[in-house]
Amino acid sequence: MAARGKFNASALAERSVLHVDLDAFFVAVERVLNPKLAGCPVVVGGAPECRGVVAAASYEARACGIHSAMPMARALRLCPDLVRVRGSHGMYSRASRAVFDLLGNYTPVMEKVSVDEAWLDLTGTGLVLGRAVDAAERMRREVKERLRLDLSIGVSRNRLVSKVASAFAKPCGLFDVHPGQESRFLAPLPVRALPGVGPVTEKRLAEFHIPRLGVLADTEAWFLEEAFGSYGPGLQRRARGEDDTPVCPPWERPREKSIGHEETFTEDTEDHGFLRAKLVQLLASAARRLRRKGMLARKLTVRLRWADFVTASRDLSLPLATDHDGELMESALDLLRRMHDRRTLVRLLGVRLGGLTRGFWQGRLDEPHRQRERSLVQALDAIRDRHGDSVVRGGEAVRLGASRRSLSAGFAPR
Amino acid sequence: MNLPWLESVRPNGKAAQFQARVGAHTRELERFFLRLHAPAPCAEGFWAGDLLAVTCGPDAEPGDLVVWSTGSTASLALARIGADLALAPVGGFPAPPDPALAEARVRGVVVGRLRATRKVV
Repeated sequence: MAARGKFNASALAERSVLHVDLDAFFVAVERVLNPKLAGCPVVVGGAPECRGVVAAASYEARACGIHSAMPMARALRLCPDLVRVRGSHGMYSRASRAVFDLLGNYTPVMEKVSVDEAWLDLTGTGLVLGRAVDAAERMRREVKERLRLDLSIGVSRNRLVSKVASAFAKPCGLFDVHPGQESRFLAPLPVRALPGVGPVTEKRLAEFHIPRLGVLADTEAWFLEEAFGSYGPGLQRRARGEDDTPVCPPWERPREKSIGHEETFTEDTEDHGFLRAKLVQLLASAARRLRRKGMLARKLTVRLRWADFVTASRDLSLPLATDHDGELMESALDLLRRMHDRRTLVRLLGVRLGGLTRGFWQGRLDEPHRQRERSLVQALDAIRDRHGDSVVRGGEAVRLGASRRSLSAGFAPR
Repeated sequence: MNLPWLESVRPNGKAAQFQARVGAHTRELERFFLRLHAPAPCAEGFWAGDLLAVTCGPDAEPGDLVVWSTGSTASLALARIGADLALAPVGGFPAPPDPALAEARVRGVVVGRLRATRKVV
């Protein structure tokens, strides 16, 4: 389980991820408790005289234009026959637990996002459960039969596409996106359909005449990077339906979102060799902290601040989650090379490792040299833990021994 | 023996909104839904009643599951594109006709399936 966050390309291709969403959940629970509410326009929420708002609305109420967060007084004006229920969050929590306990019988790898929404990873369960789409169908039936609640499910190879698919499966449906068709599935959708694209990004994309995900997917990468900075390439990958974020059950979810180190130099510098050496050192420290905490990173960010306080950062999603700085080095140095394009002295350099999951780097059986590399990294960690960071330096960081530009005592060379 | 057949439909729920919105724009991005009618569970994991989501476009590739026809709606059928770009019938659908007799045109690629109207008891 520990190294589950680390996938190879073929494993990614075979993933089966489900996004499960309970339809009009609060209303559905109220209807289970009081079957007379079936077929009526129902809302859950506070009283209009207490300035209550709609917390959930049935599909019949939504047909009248009522939606979540609408003032209750307005909802009642829109639909005079509306039935208002005060709601019981304790009851909803119990119902939610019952549903996810039941789904937990299919796979322990479940990431619950809210009271009515979760991702499930069925990768590798084919021999036991059959096709993911058939297992999803059985989930829907079982939840309906045993708890009388409706589920909408999106099935695909990754979290992102499953989430979009489940929205199209509503109400009470199942949308299965065929492996390899993720990009085609997303192409006709408006950019707003992509999770994480809000009104601001939508407006900005519209200014560039990018109304749909297919257009975004085909736009030149350099253009998106110019327009959206480090967010651009990731946005494009998502528009193509590429997402290798693992489903993180609670025991694999780290407390931190990222781990980073940055350093302001005592003297501003334009020495590219020094910056490279410093980056190697910062990266080694950040990766060592990752290993100490038993985590893997999927995202690498390099940050640079010039003497005129202009700051830039570039990031990169890693094909495989890792805690090994040796694997990150080349990418980090490449990011630095691409950023260091101004004829101005550099004041600060930083590196950040994000997209964290619990686990540790695990070599493959057919790559024994990587196991040896792993042993070397562990030995170096042990030496540094005992004698300090600067007693052993690798590669480019060696040249830091002669330098005294650092402000931060933690990184000052001996 | 009853052969499976495909019927053009408009789905309920959000998928319907999606289909209508797409139709208003470019044809390359058009998507339509076909309901599968079959006497028994079909190959490829399809069930009778499944709605197949089909995206129009000229970019079908070997390995893709496609919908082809000879022009009329009644001739809609499923096939998989082989490495030699030939259409191989799947799921009990008829084989495409001899090119000398009629031209089988690919209408779109099946990107997924919607099982929305199936009654969950």
